[in-house]
Amino acid sequence: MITLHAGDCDGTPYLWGEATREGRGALPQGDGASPHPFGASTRDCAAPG
Amino acid sequence: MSSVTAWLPTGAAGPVPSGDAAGTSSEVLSVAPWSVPARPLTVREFVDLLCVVMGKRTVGPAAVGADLAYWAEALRLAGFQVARQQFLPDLVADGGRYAAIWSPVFAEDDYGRLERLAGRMPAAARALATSDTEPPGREAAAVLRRAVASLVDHLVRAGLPGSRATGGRRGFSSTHQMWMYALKMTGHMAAKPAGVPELAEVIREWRRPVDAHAGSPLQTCIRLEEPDEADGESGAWRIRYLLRSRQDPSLMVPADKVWEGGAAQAFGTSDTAAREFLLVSLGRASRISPSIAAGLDGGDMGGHTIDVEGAHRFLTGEAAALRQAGYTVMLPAWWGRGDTKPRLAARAGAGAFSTPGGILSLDTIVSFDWEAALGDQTMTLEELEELALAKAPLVRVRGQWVEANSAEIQSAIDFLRKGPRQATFRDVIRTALGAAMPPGLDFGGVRASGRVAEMLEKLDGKGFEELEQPEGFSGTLRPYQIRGYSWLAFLGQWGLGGCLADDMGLGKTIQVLAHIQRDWPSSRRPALLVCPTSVMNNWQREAARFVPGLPVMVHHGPDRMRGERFRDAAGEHAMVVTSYGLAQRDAGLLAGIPWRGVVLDEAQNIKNPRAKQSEAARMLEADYRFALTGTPVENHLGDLWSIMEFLNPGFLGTQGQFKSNFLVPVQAEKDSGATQRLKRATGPFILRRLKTDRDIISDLPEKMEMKVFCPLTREQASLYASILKETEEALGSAAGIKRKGVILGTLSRLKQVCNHPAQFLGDNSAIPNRSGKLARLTEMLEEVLEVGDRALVFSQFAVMGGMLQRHLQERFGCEVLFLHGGVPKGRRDAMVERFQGDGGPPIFVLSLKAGGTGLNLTSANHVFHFDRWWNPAVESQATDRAFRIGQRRNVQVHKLVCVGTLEEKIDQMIEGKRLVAEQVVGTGEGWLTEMSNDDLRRVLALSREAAGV
Repeated sequence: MITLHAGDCDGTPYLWGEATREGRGALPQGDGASPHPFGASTRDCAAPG
Repeated sequence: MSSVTAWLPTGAAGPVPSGDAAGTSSEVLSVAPWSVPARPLTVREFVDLLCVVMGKRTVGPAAVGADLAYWAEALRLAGFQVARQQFLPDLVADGGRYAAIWSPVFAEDDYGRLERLAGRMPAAARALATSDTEPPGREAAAVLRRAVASLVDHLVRAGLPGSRATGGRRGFSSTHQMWMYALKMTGHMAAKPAGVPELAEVIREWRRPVDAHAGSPLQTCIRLEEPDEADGESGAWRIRYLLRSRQDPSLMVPADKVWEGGAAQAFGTSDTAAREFLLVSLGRASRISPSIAAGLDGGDMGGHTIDVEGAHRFLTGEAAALRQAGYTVMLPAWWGRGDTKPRLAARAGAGAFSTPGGILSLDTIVSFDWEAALGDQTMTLEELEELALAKAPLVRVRGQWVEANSAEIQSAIDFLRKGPRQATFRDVIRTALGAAMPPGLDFGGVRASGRVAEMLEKLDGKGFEELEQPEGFSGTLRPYQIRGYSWLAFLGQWGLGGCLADDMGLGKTIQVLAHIQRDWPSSRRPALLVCPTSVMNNWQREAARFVPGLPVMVHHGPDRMRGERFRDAAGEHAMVVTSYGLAQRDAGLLAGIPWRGVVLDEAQNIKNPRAKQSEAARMLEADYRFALTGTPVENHLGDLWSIMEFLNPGFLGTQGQFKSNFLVPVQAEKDSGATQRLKRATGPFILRRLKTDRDIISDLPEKMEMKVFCPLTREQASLYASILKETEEALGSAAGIKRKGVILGTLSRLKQVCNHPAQFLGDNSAIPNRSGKLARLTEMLEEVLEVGDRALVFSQFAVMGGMLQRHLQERFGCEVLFLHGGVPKGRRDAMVERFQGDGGPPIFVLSLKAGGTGLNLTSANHVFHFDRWWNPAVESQATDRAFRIGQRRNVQVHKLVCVGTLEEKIDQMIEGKRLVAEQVVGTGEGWLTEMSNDDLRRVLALSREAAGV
């Protein structure tokens, strides 16, 4: 199942999604990254610390 | 699809799923930036999306995140601002351009609302940021205000005629005209047009009083003070002005002190700013309140006196207008108590009965005395007449100020002079419970004496007689069922209607059956039971089990009796069971019979008073009327009138009166007084026990198993019959292993048909309205969810499980979990964890094989077996997922059985041989293949009652 999220970024509303564990894979995955719930990519981001 | 940076709680493996962020694991989390795919929305798209998700936990196959649900609440707040017209047009610089916008104006109460909502903002709502080096730092309140402002702007524009028209317009005769156009259409003004900055300045000045008021750290308070007691009624009333700090509302300084230069010391603001605020604020107040305008002419900043008429005008009108505009208005404490109207109270005596034989009935005439009070002072007729002559709007009665509305006082005088001195007992009850009131006057209740008082006490649930279990009732009624059945008998004896709204599984059916069993030997007149088709079989089966000596007749199907034949047959039965559909179709026939009683099961079926079946129900003539429902009727006020109108016609007045007396005050105005009055008026006629009530829990076994008998739909019955026909042909020529194969195949196919035609056909066709079992399951789950319970639903077919998941998810708008053999262990554990956790999905569908053992699902207190495995041991193991150590509530087990099919017959065989059942059927369904063709034919045959009785 996908969970829908929404938030404001610089005055523009954005819709984004999260796949629960059962439904993971339904969202686009980041290139080369291991699958995780938000379809997020680590390429351009600081490593979690 | 574009990409944004989301700052998410992150562990070693990456971002943590939102449901886990509360910290079920012991891992230390940090907040880190992630680039996530996201879709930018226009405000219009955003509003459309929020309207779709509002109040829902899922939309289609997706769950609504806490942040998205939160924005839907923000939209509601924005809508509230717009509905109250709390917005103004503005012209603001936006980068190099100017934007025409509609901006919200927040008054006093709105700040509290905004703050409360900001306090609840989920972190995910602020997760997005433009930067991936710094997490979003804006305060929740600021984020919310900005969002509400943008939503208000959109909502105002959307409501303007022609605002969605496209196409630009060129050539404006003035910048003002251009501004008006931009307010309606585009929002942006043309780049750097001449005169726009000047217009923006003019608008800023125009808005200044409002903005100064809304944005200031100070607040103006206006206090109305009553005259000193020593001065009597001739003393002067006084309006005083004070300033107070928004940060610390306890800090209040008289306005004249502020004017003289005390602001810096008190509030830390400059004296000039405080004076400016005071001037602007009082100037604005004077435009709202004529009393203030007149007073300010005297030039005293501290306040001024007003006469009694002015004080009354201020109390009744100007104060509310000032509050609406954002002022804090303080009024004398007695004004808010709501007892300033003349109040009438009645004394009902039971001394003089006019009923032959002195038996108290609803039609007995009883004597009535009225007395009037003003505030909490009882007034004689003479005192009221004196007040009426004085014509002052506010008077002091024995030291207490009260509003003396001369028209209302005159009404009270008229009522005392002419009001009824006698009434039927029915009217006394209505008056006593507050369902009928003297017009235009507050009503202080009935003080009864003698037998009338006794009866009213019994209606309050104090001391009505507890009956013995009726003779001929097979089984033992639990103590709370005895109380329920005695309550029904008590109301029935008085000809009053009652709604038994016990939680599902507490035995509403058998309480009604016990009542009919007790009543039948003396009345010898039939009770009519109207229920949904899906539960008709259940009533029949329960009657046969618990009141086997009671003659029960079913009025259903194309061959049902009509005319005189029906009337004669009904007269010989204690209970006639029919469906809502037929109650409407055969309304004329049923209305012609003087029923002993009418009972509506699943009474929410008549919630719409104008629906034909509701009208048909109200047409039925009966000595008593009962309604049964498992949903808390008091939570569905709109439905309450219709059910009460059936039970006790006229009791809550007309639908229009109900709307204005109760529905609007309770729902729209949140009037707690009206809520209390409604509770008082309906309480004696609604009995609702919860399985969690302390005295009920001790009466219940820890595990209750119930069969739920369901009909087949016509489509199911015809598929079932055609499979039987094919089997007959195949069996004729088969032997040995081939025969076994034919039988097992047939069993499986028949069970699929009993479940759902789409499961059997495997054609992915529509789900709703094609399966009696699914209809009943859905109804029962509705009750389960309504009271916040959770349920496991077992099926032995994974395909059916998937259909159940889809159907229930769409039907209830909440996530439904589904565990089948194909789910890997990791995901299975996650599902169990989510189901067991707080706020987890309330329904868990499991295939019997995958979910039957090893899981701990004690969050559920209902277990449904959608189809049967014919092996008690396997079913018990599945049931024990919920009924095991850690379960703190009673567990209800519902086994769904299609009447008149193999399901019922095999169930009967197992029940009949319970002791050896395990040995007989221990190997699954193989034992059925050992039967002779004749025995098998009998087991599989479809009886006529299968399709809707």
